[in-house]
Amino acid sequence: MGLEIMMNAANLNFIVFSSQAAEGAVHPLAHVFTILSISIGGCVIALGLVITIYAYRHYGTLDVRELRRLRR
Amino acid sequence: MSMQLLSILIVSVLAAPLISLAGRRIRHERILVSVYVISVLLCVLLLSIIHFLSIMRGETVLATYGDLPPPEGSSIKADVLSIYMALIYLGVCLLASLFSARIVARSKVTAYFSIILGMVTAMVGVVFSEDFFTLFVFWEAMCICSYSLVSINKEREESIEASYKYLIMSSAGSISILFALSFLYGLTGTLNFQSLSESLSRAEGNPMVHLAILMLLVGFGLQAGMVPFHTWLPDALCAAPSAVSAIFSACTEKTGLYCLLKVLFVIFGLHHEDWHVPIAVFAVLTMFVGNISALLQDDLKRLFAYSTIANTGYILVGIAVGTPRALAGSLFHILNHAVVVSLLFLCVGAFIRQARTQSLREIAGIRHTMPLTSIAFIIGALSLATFPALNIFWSEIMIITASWEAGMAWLSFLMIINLLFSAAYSLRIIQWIAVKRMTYISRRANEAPLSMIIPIFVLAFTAIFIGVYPAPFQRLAEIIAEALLPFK
Repeated sequence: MGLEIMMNAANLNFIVFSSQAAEGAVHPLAHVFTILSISIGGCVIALGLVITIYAYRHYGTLDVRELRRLRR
Repeated sequence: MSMQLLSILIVSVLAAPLISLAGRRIRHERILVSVYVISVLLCVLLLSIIHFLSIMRGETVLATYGDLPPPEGSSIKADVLSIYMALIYLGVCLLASLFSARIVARSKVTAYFSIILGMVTAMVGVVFSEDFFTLFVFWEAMCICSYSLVSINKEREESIEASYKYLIMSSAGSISILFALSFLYGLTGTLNFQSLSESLSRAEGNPMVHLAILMLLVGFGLQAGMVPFHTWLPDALCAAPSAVSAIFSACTEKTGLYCLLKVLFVIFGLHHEDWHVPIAVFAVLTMFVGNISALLQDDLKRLFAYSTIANTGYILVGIAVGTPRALAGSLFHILNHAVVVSLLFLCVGAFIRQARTQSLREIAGIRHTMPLTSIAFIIGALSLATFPALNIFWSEIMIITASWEAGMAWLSFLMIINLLFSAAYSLRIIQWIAVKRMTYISRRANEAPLSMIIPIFVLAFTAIFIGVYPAPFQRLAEIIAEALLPFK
């Protein structure tokens, strides 16, 4: 969830800058980029949720403090 | 010509989903799938060799897609550096998939090979892209493929945990890259590399430029295993299958380094004074943390993961010095380290398959039962120990002398200290493998099958060949470095 919010911040920043850079009109490149990065973000989050489900099956909890068996 | 360049990408892009679609039909037949993948990779490798030859004759290859011309629209371009990197990736991935043809479980074989093909495509796409738009898309594709490759053994909890850690860290890095791109876009109104560097040469001293450099450094450095952001790397390399670890440390990491090179020299080349000291500090930290952590490891894969981090440090030293000779040393080291580290990981993979353990203590004395693999492994470990007449020696000497010449003697001094560390742990491994008495586990092991021996010996032979006859490779690295540097 935190990752998604960070992603949104970056995308918003992109749009803001795009309307600033070219006076008057909003540059289409930034929009294309933003839409693409939103969809990429969706893919990453989907994969993250899949891995989270597997983590839940193995550990029986989603507490991050429990997921530290690799620490040595 | 541009069609041919696209064909490298198109062949591998189309090939990847094809096997996962056909997987049910051919009942996950292992031999069929692996022969298919190997022939696709061989095709792409041949295509890139043809390109390499034509680029060495002085042609530049540029392919645009869409209606807009390059500064606005997106394009892919092959120059000497990108085709050099692409050849390394394709070679290593070809040998790694040949190696893993016998190992992968039958239920996973189509998924595994289609993800590997997708990852190769994405990495080649990253090195061919000529603007940040294309680069970011391929970069994310590469990251997604690598998360799923780490978690491919989803029954084992350590691979799930490593993959989770990797996913969180690496997506944070990608978002940092995205943020930096938005800053750069706001400053210049373009994402094309050439136009960016032209516009940024006018934006001297803007704090936003420094912020953008820092964020790009975090994002790409995370993938390259730079030290404050390296913690995912040992876990991921340890949990992934060995062939995947080889691909990771020989290709994915090097993609991060390639992007750093591209960002620092092509885009921020004129801001060299701003970034060379921070990079040197990162390099020193990376070398020391990697080497000292590697000294006392018992787990072989974890040990080589830390040594990979240390070698990233050596490459960063060359980048920080930034003279043509140092940069050539770094580029040469990228090739050498890719060869040696994939050799070592494949050998460890063979040990794991035959002896069912990756602990150094348990496979002591295994050279009696697995002589061929052990010989190749010892060649790799000697090369890692900077043994003269093996390949890593030449590139490290190049980096050290170049930083000495450039007046950064402290850097070369620190690097020599680190070489002693790496010699220490490599010799320790050789001692365990070759000199110590056999354990119960290593007595039971027997020699690896031929499909694993062939890639191991191809890599070992390459290491020896570059070590004995380094001149053409050094010359190539110098040509690339001169093309990369904006100032002579």
